[in-house]
Amino acid sequence: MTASGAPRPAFAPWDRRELPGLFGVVESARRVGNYKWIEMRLFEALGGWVATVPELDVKFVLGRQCYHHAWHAELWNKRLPELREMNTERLTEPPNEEMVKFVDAVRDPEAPELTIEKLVGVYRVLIPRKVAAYTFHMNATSRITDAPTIRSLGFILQDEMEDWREGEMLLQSLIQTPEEVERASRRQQALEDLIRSAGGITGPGTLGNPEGQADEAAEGVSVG
Amino acid sequence: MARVQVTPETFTLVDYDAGAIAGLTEELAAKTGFPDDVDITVEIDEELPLPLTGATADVVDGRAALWFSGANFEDGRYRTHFDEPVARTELAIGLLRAADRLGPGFADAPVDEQLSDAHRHAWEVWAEGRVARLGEHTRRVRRLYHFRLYNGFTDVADAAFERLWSADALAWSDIEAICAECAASDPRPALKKKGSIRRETLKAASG
Amino acid sequence: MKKILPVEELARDSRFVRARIEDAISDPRQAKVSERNTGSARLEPARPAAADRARQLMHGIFVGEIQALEGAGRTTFDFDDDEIPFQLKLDMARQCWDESRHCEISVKLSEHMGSEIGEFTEATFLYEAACAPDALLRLTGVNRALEGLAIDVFNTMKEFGDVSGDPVLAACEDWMLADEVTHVKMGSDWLRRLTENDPERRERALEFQRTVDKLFSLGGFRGETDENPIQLARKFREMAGFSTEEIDDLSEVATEAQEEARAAADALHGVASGD
Repeated sequence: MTASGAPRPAFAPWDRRELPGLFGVVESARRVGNYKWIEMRLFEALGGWVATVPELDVKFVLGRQCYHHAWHAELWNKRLPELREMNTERLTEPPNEEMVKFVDAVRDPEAPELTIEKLVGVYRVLIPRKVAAYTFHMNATSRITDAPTIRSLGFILQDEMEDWREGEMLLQSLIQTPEEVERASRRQQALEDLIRSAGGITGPGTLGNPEGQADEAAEGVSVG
Repeated sequence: MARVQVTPETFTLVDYDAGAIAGLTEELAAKTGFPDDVDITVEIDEELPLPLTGATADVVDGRAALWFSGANFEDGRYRTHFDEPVARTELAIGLLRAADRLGPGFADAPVDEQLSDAHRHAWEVWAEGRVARLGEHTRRVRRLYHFRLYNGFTDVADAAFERLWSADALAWSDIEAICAECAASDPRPALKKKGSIRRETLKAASG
Repeated sequence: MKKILPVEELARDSRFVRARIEDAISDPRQAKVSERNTGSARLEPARPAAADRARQLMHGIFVGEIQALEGAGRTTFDFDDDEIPFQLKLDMARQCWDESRHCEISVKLSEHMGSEIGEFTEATFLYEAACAPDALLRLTGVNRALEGLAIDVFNTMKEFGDVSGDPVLAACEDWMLADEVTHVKMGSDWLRRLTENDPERRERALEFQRTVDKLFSLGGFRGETDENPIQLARKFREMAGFSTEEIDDLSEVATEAQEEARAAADALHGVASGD
């Protein structure tokens, strides 16, 4: 038994969390606002598409995943007021106009024969970008100061990975001919170009900027 | 007189053809081994739509008397349209059951209107199993659901279904024994009455 | 993708065949059947053709769930951020997931009962009531009327599962029933919140609900007598936030719908028979 009153270190030997992270409050809030915006646009699209896809299995998956992304938006909506900025609407925005163009393009397909185009936009372009952005945030921010964001990121990333896998499997089962391979590739290329222009889910620097890391870290110390 | 008679001769409420049904009956009679020297009447109540299905197969004055609700031949997707694969199954089941009644093994079986739902559905399982082995279209899981509804949602009933479906030869006493076995393991209270949709029965019930 | 998807554009695979409710009403066999004394219309094993009735109803539930899924999904998309509250969108997304599960459950239950997808026709009046251009009308049309109907249907099917000793059916319907009570409650809460300061708008929405409720009573399909296959589930409706007065009103609406359908059938029969 531990002797009563015996001092123990504040951090266990295996706890390697460090201060500071790359982000300060402002940067973390900006990114979280972008996350909420993209999650909203995604769950709306999935919900809207349910009625436009004839494939029953796809219909049911979209219905299920619609809520996953709505829940992510809700988590970010709850996190935003905790990040100093109480006006969540002000921060719920895309990083730039290019991102709006990208999202409009992702949500554009409507006709029932365009299921491949719909799914490629979500599962081969948008969700991989979200996984990347969330993973970067989780790795870059301080696991001590920004722990609430990290906790949400953990839940959300688990969803994203599972949804990504499920969507990719649907796509692989739908893409059966060389023409469909071509369709999927063309669609992915067009959307990749748009999101490249946007710079990623949170704009340029979504996955960090090797030259700017020192500055961001400094901001983290001063602001956070 | 033709060996197979279909009533009505002309359908006015549904898109069925009495001649075509008579032809199917002839074909299936040959396929099921129905005795050549026994006349067959097929009466169809065209007033009954899906899902009001029902069928009886009796032997009256030495002929096979098959009665069907019009719903038994109706395409569920196209109202009033004839569904040939389903109709073939239904006719074949009726013919096999009427043929059973012609043999000594079913001499003691009550007429269909007096059969309990449990007995009728058990007998129909056996008939549909034989239809399946003739290579005709059948609906095994639907039949299982019907059987369970009247003989219990139990492992005993499911095992009984398998025996009935795959049996080659049975007598009325076998059907009775199987249903009794199912009833003994069925936790439900016994059904108060049996379901029937024959016009005559309904009229009687209303009086 | 455009806002407000018309019912004609609902996407289906080749197994589905769409039916029109008018086709059923104008089928001369309906009048003939209504002349017969078929006893209680309640769904129970002793009822004639109970198994196929239950199978067809289950298929109807399945396609109804698809349309409920589509209706909830469209509500997440059809309205911009400044048109409906964020939290309402989240609730609709949650409903989407629930309806998606209900679709999956209904497919499994249909298989359990020996039915195939598309074995029966699909009537799309549920979605038609679910795609109103006003979000408030969707709340009344979908969450209170459509989901209310779902409560009645699921309770009827659950009771059928109980009385027929079918543990799979009874358990699954009970789970779905729990979700639907939540959806109706959600609709009732939002209706109250969104019309807190606008009683006229609230009354318009409730009037729309009455219209939809009448449509969903399907000429006697739902009600509180032995003639109605689907029984009003008073207890569960109360749990979902309907007042006794509202349920009484609905019962009256159902009776009206039944009488109107009977009159229409009589008129049709009279024409057909030259009376």
